[in-house]
Amino acid sequence: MTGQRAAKVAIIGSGCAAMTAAFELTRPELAGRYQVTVYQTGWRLGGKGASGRGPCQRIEEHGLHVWLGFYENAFRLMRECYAELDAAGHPNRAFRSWRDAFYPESYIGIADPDRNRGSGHVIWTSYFPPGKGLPGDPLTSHNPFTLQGYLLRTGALVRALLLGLETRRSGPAETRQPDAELEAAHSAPPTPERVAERSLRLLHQGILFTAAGLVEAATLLELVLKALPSYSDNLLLRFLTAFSAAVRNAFEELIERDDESRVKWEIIDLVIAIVVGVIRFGLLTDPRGLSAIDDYECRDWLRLNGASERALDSAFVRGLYDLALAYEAGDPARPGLAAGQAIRGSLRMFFTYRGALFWKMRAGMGDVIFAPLYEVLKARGVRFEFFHRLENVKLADEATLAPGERPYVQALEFAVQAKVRSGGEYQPLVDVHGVPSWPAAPDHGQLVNGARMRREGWDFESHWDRRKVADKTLKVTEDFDFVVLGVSVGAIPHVCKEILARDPRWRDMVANVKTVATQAFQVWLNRDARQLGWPGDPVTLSGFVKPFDTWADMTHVAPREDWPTPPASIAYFCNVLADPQSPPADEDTDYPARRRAEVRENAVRFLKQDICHLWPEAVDGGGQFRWQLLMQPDESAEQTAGEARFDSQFWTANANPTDRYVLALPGTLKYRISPLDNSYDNLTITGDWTDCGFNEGCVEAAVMSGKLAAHAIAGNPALEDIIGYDHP
Amino acid sequence: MTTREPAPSDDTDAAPDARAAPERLRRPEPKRTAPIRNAGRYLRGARSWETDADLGPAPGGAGADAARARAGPAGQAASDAAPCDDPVARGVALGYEVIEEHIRQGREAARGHSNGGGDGAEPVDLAEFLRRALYLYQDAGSLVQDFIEYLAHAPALEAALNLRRPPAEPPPAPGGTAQPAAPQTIGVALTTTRPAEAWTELSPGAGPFTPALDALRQAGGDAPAITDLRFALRSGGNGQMLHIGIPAGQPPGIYSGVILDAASGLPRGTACVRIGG
Repeated sequence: MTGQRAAKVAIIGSGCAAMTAAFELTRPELAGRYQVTVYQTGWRLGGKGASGRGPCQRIEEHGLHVWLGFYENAFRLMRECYAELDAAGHPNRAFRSWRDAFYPESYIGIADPDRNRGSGHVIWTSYFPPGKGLPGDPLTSHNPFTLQGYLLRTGALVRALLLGLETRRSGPAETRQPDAELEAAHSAPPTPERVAERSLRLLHQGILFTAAGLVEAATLLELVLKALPSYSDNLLLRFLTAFSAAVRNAFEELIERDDESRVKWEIIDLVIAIVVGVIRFGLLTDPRGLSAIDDYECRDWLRLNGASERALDSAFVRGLYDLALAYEAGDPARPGLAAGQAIRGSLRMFFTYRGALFWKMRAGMGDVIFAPLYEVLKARGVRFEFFHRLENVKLADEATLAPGERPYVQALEFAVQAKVRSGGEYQPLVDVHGVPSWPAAPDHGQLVNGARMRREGWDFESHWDRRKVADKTLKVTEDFDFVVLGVSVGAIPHVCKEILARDPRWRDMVANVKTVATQAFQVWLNRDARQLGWPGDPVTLSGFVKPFDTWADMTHVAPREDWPTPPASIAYFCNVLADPQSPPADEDTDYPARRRAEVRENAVRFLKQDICHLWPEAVDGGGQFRWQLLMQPDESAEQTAGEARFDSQFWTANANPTDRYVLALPGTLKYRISPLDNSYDNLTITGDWTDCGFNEGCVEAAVMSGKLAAHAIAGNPALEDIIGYDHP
Repeated sequence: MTTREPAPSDDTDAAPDARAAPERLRRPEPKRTAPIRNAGRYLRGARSWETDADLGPAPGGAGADAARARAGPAGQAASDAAPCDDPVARGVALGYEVIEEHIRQGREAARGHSNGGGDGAEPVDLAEFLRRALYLYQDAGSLVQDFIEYLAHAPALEAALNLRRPPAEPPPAPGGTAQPAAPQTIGVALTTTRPAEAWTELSPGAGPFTPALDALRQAGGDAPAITDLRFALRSGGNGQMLHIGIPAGQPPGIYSGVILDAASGLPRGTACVRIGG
């Protein structure tokens, strides 16, 4: 960068990536080198993570948001954010630290069709053991993600998964005392002789326990053979393949009758396939790391490496796909996950979590994440321009470029959706029990002609509502020096037409980085989960019936809402929403309403037909859902009976281009463009759709991308400080 | 900035502002635009994941050396001083014995099952089998860890695998401070008309050597290898410079090769180039 003045940065969008970029560029240690303005459609921040407060201050989310225990960058960001707020003595905060705002969730469930009875579901649940440390704790190394580190955790994880697994029909979980002899031997110096001796001793102790042991031994041999070229790789793989096939065949016959044994073996089977694949595909030494297999669909790759069809169709695998919303075009018949990213994500998820596998927020994501970020950024001097819809990123005329000069953004063209009275900044937050929160609707009282807009139903967040009160054009050097484009990839075709017209890489990106619409509904109930028939603790469960295959018990947020009589339980359901045959036209203003009606229909059908498998007491003797369980926010209003009572609950169809979830389909990740790419030397992109090192739609990817965008502009943070960016 | 009420499009508003161009700020050139998912990063100290507090007072320091330090003086002596080939060869032999044993027992298991259906043979205890499978998986995990730990710190194998490890602290010299040898460095100069970036990674602690590199190849692809490669001394004699010439029609992708010590033929590092589309 040249010049002494503060550089003006225009950040478009306000999701996790954009807010991270703003946070990094305005760090106090940068001494005001960057003057940031955030431009955002509508009245609230958050993008796909936005939430709002509806009737009774109930929390209304875009979908279910859980933070995974490996979100190192994201947790670090929020820990710093909360620490900065606390240091500033911010008053009336219910959440003074990040630990107040998040709680560890270790109870995970997966639903599996009951194959023995031919109907209904078997629910598998597991408590994951606490991981050492807390997410976002300092590390002693820039790149802690190593095969050795994963191996260290394999034992504990598999033990937890398998021994901790129990079904409703099974007894208490098995336990095992540590093997004192092995513990003692483990502290002695490792030598090949000692290890081999132990290996043989263990082998003689049993039969089937040799399955995983063989693969591990062969993995080791692969390493050795790489150093001793006189041995053949093919020999090793032959051993592996022969043994794996033999054991699988034996097990396939043995496990037919026993659900619990089947699930245990399915997981072992998948682990074997991954180890075999890592060796067979030479991933230990491939400079692309796991990305070398990103052109394979994950199930196909596991199948290539010997995974059984049973394991590939297991609840465990389906649960992972459901959590990743990995269904192209929202079609359950088209699951798709790039193998390398899927394996990377699984390794990170299961082997590197800290504290707990999942962390849940104690209020809405907007309240726990974006309100604190907003307040910190405001205190740092960041300006927020709400009600600004980006219409066009205008490039400089190529004819005006000097020789060797890169193309750059000449102007940013916005539609101004509303103006604030008195010309000041819009004040977006409301206080709910000490938590600064985002309302589910704009405060029309702050807007010029706000009453008319409310009466006419202006939808500031709908792509199909193009109403505006003015146009605005920002010019390079005059209004901005750098642009951080933080809209989602779904919006790129609408706002970057000039770039797409001239740049084949961007066209490839838009054509290949696919997104999917999602749907969600939330219900507030006057009975708790046990009264509804759920036998265990509050759970996060996946693998259930489409389209609402994921359920999270969110009763813990009830104290943050404001009901006259608090709900006894709160449940969120979500997953993908199938796309129509052809995408809607921009003029199809009725499209969002049609999709919402569709989601309502899906949710009602789900409650009537499927919820009985999770909540057997939620249906009456005739098998009908008891609609009176649903709490109406306005108790004084006439109580609605029957199915119509569902209208008092919350549901959403996330069909806006910017609301669509980003997929990691096989063969597509190579088309992503990095925030570090400088084809346009005053523009960087950011979001979980960019090539950010962890190419899967999630908060962690977005935060990593935001840090990369900040690095692209300021050289800060250092790439080595973006945890997991160089993960193999 | 211009703001206007809805009106027919006015091109003058969006026209390039010639006065602004000379003042325009530019992003700094990125040192790289993609992750380095180098294999050498696989085998580092497993405890490096843990926090400083978790690591405790492990002798030998934190990070990549912590695992070795945990093994104590004997382990360190073995890994640093013992020649790699003999124990590794023994490990291979024993490993095959392990595999044979596995296969034998697997066959026995299959026979046990086929006999257990009604001919009076003792029925197979599934739960017990699975428990044992699980236990061994856990135990075998630690075995492999031990093996890798050993191998990762065997000097010859480490060089072969291009492992990355912080250089060990030199022993104090009698009567003075030891001066560590200057590490070898190799810079990269690209000749190309394409968007590309390149980097080298050398085994830490490697002393001076004469580098050799025959080609850069695309893993898993059929693109022609890049062979226009040349090493030259940097001006001032401060390390080497690798000159890479990329042909105009070279397909996009990552190309890599092993940098060898020309004298011994041992691997000393890797060179990679990423060619954009």
